[in-house]
Amino acid sequence: MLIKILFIVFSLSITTLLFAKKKDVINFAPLPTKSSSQNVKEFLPVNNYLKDKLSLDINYVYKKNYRDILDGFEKGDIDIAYLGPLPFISLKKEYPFAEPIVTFKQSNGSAKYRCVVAKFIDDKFDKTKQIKVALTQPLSTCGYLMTNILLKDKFNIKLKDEKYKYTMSHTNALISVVKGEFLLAGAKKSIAKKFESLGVEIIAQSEFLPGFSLIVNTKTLTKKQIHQIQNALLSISKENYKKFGGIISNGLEKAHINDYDSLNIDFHIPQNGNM
Amino acid sequence: MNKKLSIIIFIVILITISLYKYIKISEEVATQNLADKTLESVKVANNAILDTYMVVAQKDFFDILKNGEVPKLLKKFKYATNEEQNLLRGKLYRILYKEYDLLKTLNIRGLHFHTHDGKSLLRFHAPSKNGDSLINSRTSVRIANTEFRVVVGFEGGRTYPGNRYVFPIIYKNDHLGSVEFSVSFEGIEKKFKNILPFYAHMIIYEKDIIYKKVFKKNREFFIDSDLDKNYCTENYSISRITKNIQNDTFVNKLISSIKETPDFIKKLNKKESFAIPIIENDNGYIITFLAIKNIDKQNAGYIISFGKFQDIVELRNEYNHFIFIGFIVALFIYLLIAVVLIQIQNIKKESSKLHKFIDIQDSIVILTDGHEFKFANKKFFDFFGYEDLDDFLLEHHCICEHFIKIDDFFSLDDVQDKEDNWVESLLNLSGRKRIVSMQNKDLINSAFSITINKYDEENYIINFSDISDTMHEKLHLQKQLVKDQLTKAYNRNYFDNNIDKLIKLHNNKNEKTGIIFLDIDHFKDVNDTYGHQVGDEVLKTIVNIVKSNIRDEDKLIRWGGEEFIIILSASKIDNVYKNAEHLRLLIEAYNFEKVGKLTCSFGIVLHQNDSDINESIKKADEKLYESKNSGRNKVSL
Repeated sequence: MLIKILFIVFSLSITTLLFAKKKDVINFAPLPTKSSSQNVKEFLPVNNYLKDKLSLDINYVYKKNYRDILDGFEKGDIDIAYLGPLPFISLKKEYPFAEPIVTFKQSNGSAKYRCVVAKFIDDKFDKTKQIKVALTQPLSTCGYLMTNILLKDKFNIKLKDEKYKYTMSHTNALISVVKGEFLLAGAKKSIAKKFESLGVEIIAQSEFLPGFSLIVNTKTLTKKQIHQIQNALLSISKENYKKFGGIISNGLEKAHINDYDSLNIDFHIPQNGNM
Repeated sequence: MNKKLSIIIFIVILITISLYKYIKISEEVATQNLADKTLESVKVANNAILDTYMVVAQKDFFDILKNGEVPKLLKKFKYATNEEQNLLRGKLYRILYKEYDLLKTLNIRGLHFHTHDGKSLLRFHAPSKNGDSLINSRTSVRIANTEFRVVVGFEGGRTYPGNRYVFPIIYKNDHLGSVEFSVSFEGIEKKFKNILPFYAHMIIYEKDIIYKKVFKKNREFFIDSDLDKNYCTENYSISRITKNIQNDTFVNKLISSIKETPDFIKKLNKKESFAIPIIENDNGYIITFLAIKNIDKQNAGYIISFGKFQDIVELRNEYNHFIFIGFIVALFIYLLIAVVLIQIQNIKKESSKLHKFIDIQDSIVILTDGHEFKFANKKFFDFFGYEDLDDFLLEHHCICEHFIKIDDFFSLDDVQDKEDNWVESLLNLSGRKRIVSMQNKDLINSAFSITINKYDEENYIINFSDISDTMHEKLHLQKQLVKDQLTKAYNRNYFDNNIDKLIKLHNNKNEKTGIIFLDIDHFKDVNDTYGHQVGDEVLKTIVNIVKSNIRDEDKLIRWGGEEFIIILSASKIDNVYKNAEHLRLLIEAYNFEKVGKLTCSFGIVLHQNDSDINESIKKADEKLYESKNSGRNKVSL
């Protein structure tokens, strides 16, 4: 078994070395959920920095959804993408040449975050009855994936047996709980905390998960390039974080593939709710 | 002529330009009036819309209060702990979120509860943002919670600006806070579009007013206005209007045109409503800027409405018609003036030729209707010694004044009562009798035969041909009439007819008139002793002595018997005296035939212009007798 694994790793390395060649133009895929002008605004300072530092030209490749980004990686159209943990794990499952290099910190200074399950204080949670759960998006880590894990771990409830709906944002999921339309909501902890002032209480929370990261395509970029890009980003001084603004405004840290271990499970995420 | 022509052309051009300017200014004023009326309609519509929202807000406010659950919850909230407040806030949201959804369909974007001490209790449009104090940043919240009265008006906010309707909530005499309904511009714009004939509407805010109040993070919702850097507008992520306008070529083109209009920035900075009419490529547009004042009475921005209004193009076309008509009229006037000027020029040329022709005539030629003297040729002025007609008319009215009354010569005395004037009178005479005598500037008489020709309906050209030579004999006789037959000195008749002219002649030379009165001493003895024939010879000799020793222009007049008068020009009495003394000595020294020595006595006077000449003669006579009485052969003055 070990020999087989070593052979696969060796083969992948050889393939990487054979196919990867030095590129001067990097195809970058920003978040598909934001508008192009907003993406430019958020990424432009970092792109300009890389351009100056490494003499690389950054070409924006806009994809409508995560599926297109995954396809772009496989086709070699995308060299770098900005992805949350779940899209990365999904990509990694299909395309082993995707690797995180840096993770961006949030406003609380941490590059990691937790997902939570929350409810309105006054609402009764009767596990014996079928409940309604508000989720964010299918490919949101705190959506179906983590909510399902938390419900199973903390309350021994399987999400697929309950009623659930994608509300398309953390805020929508939480506000629907305040409205009384749903009993539970799965969301990012930092956002759920803001809704405590509206009577929302967190009833379960996950371990720390890695935040949004830059994922490189090791098949299209050389190791040297990847290393250069990673080093260049990590060498940005703290003073420049605020100056650059956008995604880097809170800083960044080196990404570790191990951080994704807790997500490295077999899962099937339904693309639509069941309500 | 050229100067006059230039002045006329300049005046006509000036009038034409002034007329053009006047029409253009009138057009601008009329166009601006139309734009201002359009602005007025926007104002009225805006007020009506805001009033409508007031009704909606009032109704909703009363509905909320009628729902007993809400006031009770707010009362609990006032006295609850922080944790309890969180739950109560959530409950309030749960009770009213459907109401808020309904309000949103009516374009009321904000429903915001405030605590009794002016903090944000619950923003339905941003529920997780609460607890911040508004008492200092929001005038409406302060008034509603300190003065407990309803506040209505435009105001900036922590999330976005809008028209606020803030109601204090007092429940069972307990002040629980306030509730605010905010209408976004999108709501107003939708209604504008329903009732106003404009293409698009947008709003710009004064940056200073907005940025002071909005959450720092929310500043990114605002972008600089294309119109002026001091103004901003909501960005496309929160404003459908901005999104639409950003991609609207019509509006963007008009924005560019507005920026190019003169005084635009000046008008904008005046912070009062204004309207700009624009005509481009035969399309008319009116852009109105409705000034928005906030609750603090500060200028908060402008509602800008863009519309296509062909009325202003039609108005311009009407004024262009006026300009065209004005141009045609001006052209007609130019042509008319040109024709008139050419005619005048031609007439003047002809007239000039005629003048030249008449001027070279050897006879005097005049143009008159018998009353008014209209023209005279050069010969006329040379003869009478005047520079021009005006100069002549200063002293005379008619050439007829110069006709000397002599027998066989026509004079004004010959004009009959039934005759209108002297010309008519002459015309009634036969040609041979049309003869006048006139004296020239040197007081020399000439005779003229007159021919009269009709010039036009009123005027006659009258020709005075000098026939002095042919009339010599007659004139000689005439001379006899004015001269003493014995001595050939002038007689008293001459004096009577000419003394005024002589005085005037002296005056013209800035001199006075001197009078020397002389009488031959003991002349009676000469007659008695030697007979009258010798006496006559003595008289002739003395006249010859005197005539030979006075100037040509000095006149010797035989006054009577052995008395003579000399009329001469003199600047002072001394000159007169010298002349008299000189004559006295000559006569004294002269040896008269048969008689021998004789003397004369003299009396002299310098005539003053303002006195009577007869008085001066009398004085000279008195001086003469002084000489006689004091021993004779003397000059007394």
